[in-house]
Amino acid sequence: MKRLAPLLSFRRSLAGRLTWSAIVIVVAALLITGSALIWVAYTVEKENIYLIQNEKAERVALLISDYTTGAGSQLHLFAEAVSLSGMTEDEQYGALDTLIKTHGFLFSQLALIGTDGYEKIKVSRYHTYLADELEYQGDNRAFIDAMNGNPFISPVYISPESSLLSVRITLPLTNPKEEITGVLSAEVNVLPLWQEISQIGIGETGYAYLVDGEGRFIAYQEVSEVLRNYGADITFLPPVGEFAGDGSGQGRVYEYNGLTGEPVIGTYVPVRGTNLAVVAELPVEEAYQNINRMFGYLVLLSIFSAFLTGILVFFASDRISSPIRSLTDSAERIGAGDLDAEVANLSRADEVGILARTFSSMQGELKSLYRGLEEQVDALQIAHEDLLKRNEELRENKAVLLEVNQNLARAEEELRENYMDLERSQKALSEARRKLNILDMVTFQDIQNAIFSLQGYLELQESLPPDAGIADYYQKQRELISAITDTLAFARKYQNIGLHPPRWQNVEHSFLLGISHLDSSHLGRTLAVLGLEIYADSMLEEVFYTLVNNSLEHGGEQLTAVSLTYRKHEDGILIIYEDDGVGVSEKRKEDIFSRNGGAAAGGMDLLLCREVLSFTGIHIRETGVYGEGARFELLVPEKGYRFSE
Amino acid sequence: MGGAGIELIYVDSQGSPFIGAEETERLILDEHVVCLIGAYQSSVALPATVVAERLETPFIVVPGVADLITERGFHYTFRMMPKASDYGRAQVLFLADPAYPTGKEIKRVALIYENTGFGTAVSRAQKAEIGRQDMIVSAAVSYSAEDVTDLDDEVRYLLASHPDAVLQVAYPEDSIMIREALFRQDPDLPLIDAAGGVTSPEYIRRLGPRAEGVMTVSEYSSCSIGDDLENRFFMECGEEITGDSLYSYIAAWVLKDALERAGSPDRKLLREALADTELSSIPYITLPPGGVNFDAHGQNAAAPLYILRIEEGEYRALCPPYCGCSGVES
Repeated sequence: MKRLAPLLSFRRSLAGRLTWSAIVIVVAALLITGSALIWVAYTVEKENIYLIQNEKAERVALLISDYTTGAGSQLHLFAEAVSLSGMTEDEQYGALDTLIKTHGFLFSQLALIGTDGYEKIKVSRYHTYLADELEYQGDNRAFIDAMNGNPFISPVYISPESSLLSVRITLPLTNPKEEITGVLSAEVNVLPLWQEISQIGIGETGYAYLVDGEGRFIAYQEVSEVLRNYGADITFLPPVGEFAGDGSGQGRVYEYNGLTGEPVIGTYVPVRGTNLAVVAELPVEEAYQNINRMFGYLVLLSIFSAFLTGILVFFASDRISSPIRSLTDSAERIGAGDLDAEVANLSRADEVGILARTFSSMQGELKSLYRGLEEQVDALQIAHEDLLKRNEELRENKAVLLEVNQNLARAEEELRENYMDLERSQKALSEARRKLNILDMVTFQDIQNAIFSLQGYLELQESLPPDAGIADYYQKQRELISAITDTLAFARKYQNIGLHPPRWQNVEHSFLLGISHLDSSHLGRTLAVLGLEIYADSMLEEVFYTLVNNSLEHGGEQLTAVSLTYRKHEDGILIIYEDDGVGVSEKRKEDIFSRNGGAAAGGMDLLLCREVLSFTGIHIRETGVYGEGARFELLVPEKGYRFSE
Repeated sequence: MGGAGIELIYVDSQGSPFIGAEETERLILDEHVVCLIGAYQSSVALPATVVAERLETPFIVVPGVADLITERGFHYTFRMMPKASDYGRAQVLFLADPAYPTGKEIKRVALIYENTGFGTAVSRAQKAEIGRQDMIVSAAVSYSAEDVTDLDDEVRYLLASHPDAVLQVAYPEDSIMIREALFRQDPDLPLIDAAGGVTSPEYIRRLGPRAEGVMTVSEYSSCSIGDDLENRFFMECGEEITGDSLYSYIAAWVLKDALERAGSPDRKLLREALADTELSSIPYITLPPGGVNFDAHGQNAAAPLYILRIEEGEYRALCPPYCGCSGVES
């Protein structure tokens, strides 16, 4: 990149821009002038080309015309000079043979045709016709025209006998009385003519060809081309189309893709005395060779001029821009921080000197400004360092604050949990009051009933003689007293419910503590509640005691094992207690939790269990299959259970 | 050509111009041949070369000799052998030569010729040269070689003109007919053929002693080729080599030479190379001075002609003297 720097610098420099501008102006001027000259030359050249081409085509046309009319004249002279009608056949044969012999390649074939249309004698350079090879020509147009007194010249054709390019000429033969006595027919070989035509140069690469009045390809200097395309319709070529049309295009020059397919300039000239025309074509490449050469010179001149202009203008502009470049260098150095850089050209009297002095003054101002800026930068540096220190302190304080904030969050969480515990305790307390009311009501009514009955029995006892069935009344009274005792026992247990606020309790521990006073050592025991804790009344141990005790009392002899497990439930978690005793019949599955039903079963405690559990939203029910064992499910609600680590 | 070989494809025109033209087109368009060599009859060579010219494919004509073959301005037609008119001219020049072997001055010459391009061209040349040599055509008769079964009447017509010699232009069958008729009517009358039927191996074989003394123009004499080539040809074909065969052999070497110079099977390049041919020597044969080279019409400009006479069942060269063989008899 450093190497490119001078080049880039030159491109952007004043000298560079001046140089490029001068080059562009010179080249543009040359191109405009040159193009105008070329256009003029093109117009003149085109006119010249046409004139030359037209002249050549006319020469060819004249040659053909002269050749064919010359052949016709030779034939005519022969017919007049030799009185064929007065000769024997052998003499006639000899005369025709001599005519062929003496005219070289001009005549390929001569025939004498009688007025009846039959060939009488036929002499050829290429075949000796025997008598049985002579033909009838009566329906031939050449014969018919001649018999009508009109000489006939056919278009050029390829002779079927010799494959030579030929024309047929027929003449009427007359006797001294001007009566037509026969027809002289000649096949004229035009190949020599065409070889001669091909010698007429149309430029270096130009060529001519012959077409007939219908625009068909007739002859060309390349025989192979003639053999391939003889008679082909080529009216798509503009000059041919014009000739085959109304002939209005004569004298015009056309540009088109010619016979050989390459772009050409072409024109046509009719052949006098025939319905043929000569088309001369000159390839555009050759036709405009001079123009192309001029164009090439113009391009070379433009390149040379651009190069020369570039060099001259560069040196001129370099002299002018050198002091400016010196100033630019000084400015670059000052710009790079060298405020002591020397500014040149201060002594010059021109615009550059004024600019240099102004620049030097600016340099002094800059120095002053730079010093002031340096002082300000120092002050700012100190302030910046102070700010950095304060920032560090703030970062440290922030860490402390974050820690405090985390502690506060933890404290808030604990408060929230305490609040929830308190809320649950208040609910439990409210429930305890409700239960106490029930207890009061039940206890009072039971005791009242018992006392009322006891008073009745006492009155009956007093009215009876001392020995008359008094024993029964004693029995009744003992039962009543026992009932009162049970009621009071129930009340004692019931009143403990909610006495202490509920708490988180390990299920396995509560179970083991609950049954520790029961003799269940003969039973198998399965515990699968490791780590499970539930939020329940402090009488949870009593619940497990009651369940296991019921199994021992009512499980019967088949009882062998108990188990305590749990599983997840959509509403929380399900703690399952099971035994393999008798179980509970279907109709008693709910009765065992009612007061009456429970009392009847001697299991008042199951009602108590349900009440204890319901204190913290736990619901208990029996779901076992009678005969297979009892199964109690304790549904603990969400947020009412957890697992300890 | 990098060692490329030449593959030969043979077709038979059966002497038919139509088949000749058709087969030429097929060989060029379907078989993609780069060059053709043939044909025996001028009547076949003429349309065949038209097809080749149209399709821009070189055609080396051998042995067709009709003048017209190389007079049509074609660019792709080349001919190895002399033109028909050269044969006619050679016949008359031989008769006019003071060293003519019979020692008898020839004044009246009778002409008999087949009527196609070959016979017509030779007879025209004969007539023209006779006119120049202080001789006269005592009689001239033409016939169609395809149609004749005997030529007794034509020969009788000739003899009625009391000729000093008879010049014939004929193919093998009609040559034999002419000789048989002449042998019956005037066996000693000099008869000179234009290298048509008399050079055919059949001629001596069928006529036997009756062929003795008959002369013919020929494109070669046995001294112009080495024994090796003659022997090889005999071994291969079972016949003596003829002028037609010899020029066919030369044509193959001309083609090889042109292909190597063209450096490509491109037909246009090959045509240019053939036109520039300057072949001075080929194996097993001594080419005449000038070797092989073609003029602007494609005609071999250096094709010599010899006069042979049948003696004791063999051809003996009589002239021109430069052949260096037996020389001119006195």
